[in-house]
Amino acid sequence: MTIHAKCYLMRISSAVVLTILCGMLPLTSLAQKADQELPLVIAGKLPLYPIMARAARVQGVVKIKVTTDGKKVTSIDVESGPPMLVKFAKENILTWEFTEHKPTTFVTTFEYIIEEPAQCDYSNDALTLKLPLEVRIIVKGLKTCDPSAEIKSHP
Amino acid sequence: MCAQSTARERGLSAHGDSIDKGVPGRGGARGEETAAGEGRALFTFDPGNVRAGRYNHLVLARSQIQEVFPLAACPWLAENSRLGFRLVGSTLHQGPQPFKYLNGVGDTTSVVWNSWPESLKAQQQTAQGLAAQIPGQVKTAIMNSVNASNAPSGADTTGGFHEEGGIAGTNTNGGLVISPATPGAYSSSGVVSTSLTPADPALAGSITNLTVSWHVHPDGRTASGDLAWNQAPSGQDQKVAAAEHQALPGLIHIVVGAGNKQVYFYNGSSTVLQMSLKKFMAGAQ
Repeated sequence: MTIHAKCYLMRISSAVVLTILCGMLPLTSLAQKADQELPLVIAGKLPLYPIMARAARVQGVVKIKVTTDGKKVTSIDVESGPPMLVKFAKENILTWEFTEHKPTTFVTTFEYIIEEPAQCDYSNDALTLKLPLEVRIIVKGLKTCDPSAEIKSHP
Repeated sequence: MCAQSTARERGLSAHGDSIDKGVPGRGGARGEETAAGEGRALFTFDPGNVRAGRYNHLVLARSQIQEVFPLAACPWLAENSRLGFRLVGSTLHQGPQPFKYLNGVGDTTSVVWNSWPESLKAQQQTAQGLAAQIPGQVKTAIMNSVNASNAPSGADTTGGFHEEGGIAGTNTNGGLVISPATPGAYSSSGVVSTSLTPADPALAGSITNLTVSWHVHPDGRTASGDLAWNQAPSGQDQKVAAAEHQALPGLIHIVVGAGNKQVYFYNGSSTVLQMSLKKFMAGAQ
């Protein structure tokens, strides 16, 4: 086999591997939706960015496995995320109410994002909800804004 | 001798009440009220409800605390506070047993963060009382921030023209977590600021109970030798503190003036408490 032929084959095989890998990513998340009927969320508290996390400038992704009994959440198991954010994500999930459904388990992702540039004051949250699987909360960063002193002239 | 007074006697219920209602006319709720009687423990506690952990890293649910007392009332208790205990605590002792001197590792005393703003609003709190609630390690971290603000950093080639800061709190196990922030941006006039971005985001994210937030107002000087920056909390500091106070009433906001060497406690109300950095640091480890 010539060198050209070998290179060609390697390119082809790399492309095939990449295609399979890239294809698997959306398939994985779709699998959760396709394999099960997700419950309809009919009530719950707004999952605002916790003031504690904003004050601490903590952001990150929380993944929580939620189990329902056909009416309400019966258990929540943390899969990953900063403990500060986990606490608030769990609290929010516990406020969710569903229509009657077949008992199920699914993984919910809470994404807490602090955007730059930072501002001098707190701003309102921007929420994207794809319930019950995805919650994305975006806020502007916060910075101190301390003015210079009034200069007293020396005699 | 410490006079006898229990939380219950001061009109606090066992569960959920604010524990820092002061006695009008007698100064701060934490700074001057009295605690246990001599040779007695005036607190009851259910050890069965206590989460296991190191003595000074236990954090108790408010509902678990049946009696609380301010430590600073008694010199020997204040000494404990000086050694890193916070001012308000509860013990595992039950009944009229001699109160054990809190002398370090292995002791069974636990501590909780108090909620201070009510008494601050009533102008009953003292800066000394608040300072006594802050563990020595946190004070040391605050002092490190002052030194870092005075030192060159990035574009601030002389020091004194950037802010530093950080946060502290406890993690899920009740352990103390101190998270310094990355240095703020250089500024020579107008506004100086810091985003208080955690130097170690994972460390900051491990905090589940935020108790102290601080930043330093720099010591930069003008050509004529005047301080370039306001040293007290700015209007914006107050505004942010007011918003945070509503959600986190136990959070202590601190600004340190690196130029005038003063420590300011503020919560968005009109009252700003102040003490010297030297006194604040007294006893810090």
